[in-house]
Amino acid sequence: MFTYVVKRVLLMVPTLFGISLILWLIMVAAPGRPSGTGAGFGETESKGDPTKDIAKGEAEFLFRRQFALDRPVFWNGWTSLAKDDVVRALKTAAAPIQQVGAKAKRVATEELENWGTYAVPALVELVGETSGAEQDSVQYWLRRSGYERTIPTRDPDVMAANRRAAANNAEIARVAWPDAATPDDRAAGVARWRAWFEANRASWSWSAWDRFVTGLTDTQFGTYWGNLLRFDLGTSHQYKQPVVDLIAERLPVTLLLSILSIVIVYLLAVPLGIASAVRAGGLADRGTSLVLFLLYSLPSFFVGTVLLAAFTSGPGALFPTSGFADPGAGQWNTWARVKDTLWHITLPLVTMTYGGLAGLSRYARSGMLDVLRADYVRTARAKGLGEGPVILRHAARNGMMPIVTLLAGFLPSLVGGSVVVEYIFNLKGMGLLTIEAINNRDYNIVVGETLIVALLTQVGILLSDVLYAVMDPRISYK
Amino acid sequence: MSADRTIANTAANIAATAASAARVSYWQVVLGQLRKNHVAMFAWRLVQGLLLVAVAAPVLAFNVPLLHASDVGLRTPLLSSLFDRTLFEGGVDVFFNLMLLVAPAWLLARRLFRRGPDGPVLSVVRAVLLAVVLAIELFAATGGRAAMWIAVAGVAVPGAALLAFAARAGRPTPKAVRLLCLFVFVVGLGAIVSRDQETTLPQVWRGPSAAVGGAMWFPPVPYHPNAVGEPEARARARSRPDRHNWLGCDVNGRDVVTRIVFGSRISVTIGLVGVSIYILIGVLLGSLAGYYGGEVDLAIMRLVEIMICFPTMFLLLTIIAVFESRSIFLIMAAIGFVGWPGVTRLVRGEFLRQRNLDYVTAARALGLKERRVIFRHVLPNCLGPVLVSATFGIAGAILTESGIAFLGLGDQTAVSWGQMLTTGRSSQEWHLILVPGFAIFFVVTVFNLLGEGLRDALDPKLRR
Repeated sequence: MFTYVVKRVLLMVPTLFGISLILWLIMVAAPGRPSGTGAGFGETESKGDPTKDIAKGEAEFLFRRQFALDRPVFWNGWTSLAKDDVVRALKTAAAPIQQVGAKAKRVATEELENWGTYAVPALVELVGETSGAEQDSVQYWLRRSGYERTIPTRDPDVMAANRRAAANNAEIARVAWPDAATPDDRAAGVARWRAWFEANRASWSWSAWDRFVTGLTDTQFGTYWGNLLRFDLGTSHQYKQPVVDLIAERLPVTLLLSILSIVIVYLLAVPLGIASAVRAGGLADRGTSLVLFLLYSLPSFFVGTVLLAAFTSGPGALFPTSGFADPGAGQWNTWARVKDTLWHITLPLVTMTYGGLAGLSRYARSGMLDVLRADYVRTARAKGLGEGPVILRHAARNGMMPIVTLLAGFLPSLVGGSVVVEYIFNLKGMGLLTIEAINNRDYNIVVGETLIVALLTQVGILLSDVLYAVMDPRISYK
Repeated sequence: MSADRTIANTAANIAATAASAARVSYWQVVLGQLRKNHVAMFAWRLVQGLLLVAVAAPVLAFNVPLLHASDVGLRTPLLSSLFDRTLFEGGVDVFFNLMLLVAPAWLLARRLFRRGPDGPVLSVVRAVLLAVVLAIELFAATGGRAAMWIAVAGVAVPGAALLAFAARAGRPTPKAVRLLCLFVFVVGLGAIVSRDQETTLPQVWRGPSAAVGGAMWFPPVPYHPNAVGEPEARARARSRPDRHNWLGCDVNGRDVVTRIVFGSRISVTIGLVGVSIYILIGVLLGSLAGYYGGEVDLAIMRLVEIMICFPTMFLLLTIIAVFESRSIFLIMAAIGFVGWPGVTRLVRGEFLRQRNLDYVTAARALGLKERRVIFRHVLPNCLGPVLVSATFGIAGAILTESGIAFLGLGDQTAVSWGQMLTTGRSSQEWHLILVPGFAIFFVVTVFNLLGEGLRDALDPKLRR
């Protein structure tokens, strides 16, 4: 048994790898790549509202940074960026639109933005070689490339890095010459830039090994897997905290809902299936089948909406509208709090369970019907056992075997269903978090949640497989 | 003696049964089984009805008159507005409007050419008749401008030929001619549809006030799904069902009946397109895995296992998020991308069962190309379960799309039942909750019923 579990856990590794790979491929394939200029990144939504624009820019920055979307996909050769390339990009970006075309201009600007800190050595050289407006443009890009953005979060490590970045940014602001500068100002500025560069030389002097490592790691592919291995799912711009913490905070709600509904579904579906199989073809069986079939087709979001509208307001106000616990529940004793929580999640649980109940009890019925025709059931009857022991002890234990395997297939849809339920009843679980995140462009949360949910589903499937192996002695996994 | 005769009789009977069985194809048997299932047949009729409603939506519910008789003459404002992008925003609507033009001509072609041509003269007469019908339709649809005549004729003639060829499918028709007709038809139609509406369609309906007077004949429900050209919409917002708005109006004063009718288009499209995408992927991968086995099988099945572990809803939401798009076509593609593993498993299983049968060996022994063996010989024998799963899949896809729209993440421009439900939810009006909810429930039930019927019809154990 132990070896089976170990083997099964080891098998999870390639599957998890595959899941992450597919998710990464989706992200790489997605157009509308968030670029620094905001081009193609849903510009229409927040016209003219500066606070929204800032929030949008912040969200994009965090997502871009987390998945290194402004870096090359597999190999980053920017450590040996040639000065000519920078000159060419600068010229194209500064050229009039009629001469080079809008697309080339945009590409060049994007290139300069993406190079960022990698372009600093070339730019520092250039800033001394140019003059006039050209020099101003070089300094503009130098300021941009040297500038380090801070990450809004309460994570202490990141905050220390933020302080260093802020000091560097202040230094850059001091080094740069003002807008309308005299040639003397510029000359002094160039000297200051060179001094700044020499002082921070270590950041730009790469050994061959450094170049190799950076080339592999500072890419979309390298960053993604590096982050995954460190279990770093990025920062949420909405909540200003690491996504992992957020998910850990929201996970219990979703888990409670899912586990409770699995338990309820199994507790109801098994007896229902057995009862209809025993009375197969009878009026009660056909009636239940019909009702369950209709329930199966009833969309859960519709049921949830109707329950919410019927039982939380007006004459039938029996249940609370939303949330997971009463605001004043903090002071109550444990029993009162449990009661309060149950009262709050009754409607969500009904919404989540009826569909699974309909599906599962049909399988329970057909599994039971198969078994009831078996020889050993006839033998049991022939040796004079009563109907009760025959059904419950001989038939049901085998007839319910397929139901256990179904648990694995049932899990993903159940977790998916919790998204809708959390949305309707405003339960602060993972589903609601995802929806809010999509609406706020907080994509680190969306991707992180999908990874975590996939991982949890894997664990659930593992559990159901182990359970099956425990239940059915015929199966020996060697 | 008598024993011999009995044996001879039995042999003759067996031979006769075999002969009659040989004439009945597998799908005819299945269809016969389905016909005996009254519930499934009823569901099938309802599906046909749904398709009809989806195609004929503007004829059933729209705020542009079907006919307008005045001093200027008899006009067909609705037909000439079918491709007006101010009235029909989405690509789905434009497609269905095109269907509205082509479908009657197609049905006519089916009727005309049902028994095949009786000779060259008669078949030319029929084709000309069809071309005239198509030309009249297109002429009305393009606003009846004289300048459009040539374009109309250029589309109607190859269109009619195409329909005629298609209607007598099964008979040898020159493939090159068919392709040429299709090409000319598509190019011409594209030219007509995509031409600047302002210059080519002077007859665009600008509301009843723009009419010169005269008699107008409106569709039974004379409202626009987005209340375009209805200045009185604000006043009737949230109104309960009454004589004018049979199922009331939503928070923006848009008529619910019209929206339900147009929402059927989105549901039908999502169901058909989304499921087609994943059936295509699933059949392709499943047949490769099942036929070749070995490493191909191993690789594909690993992929399937990985995809099955994804919680579908979260994967869909991720796709919608990172693609930064709420287009209905993205949702279709996403459903297609997410749904294929089940089909792959099914097809693979069927292939594993079939690939060692004698007919496959025979086909291979004949020296047929593998592609032909897989797709022409084995695949048709594996499609039964796929059909069943596709029918259930349509119900599932419709549910998924409405769910996404319900979460407020769907296409905001598309008239979707899920979106109607979510606005109804926030409005707290019972008629705005129940109507779209039951519409979704109804369609999902119908497809599930049909799927059950098909499954029973395919099951040899349940043969009646």
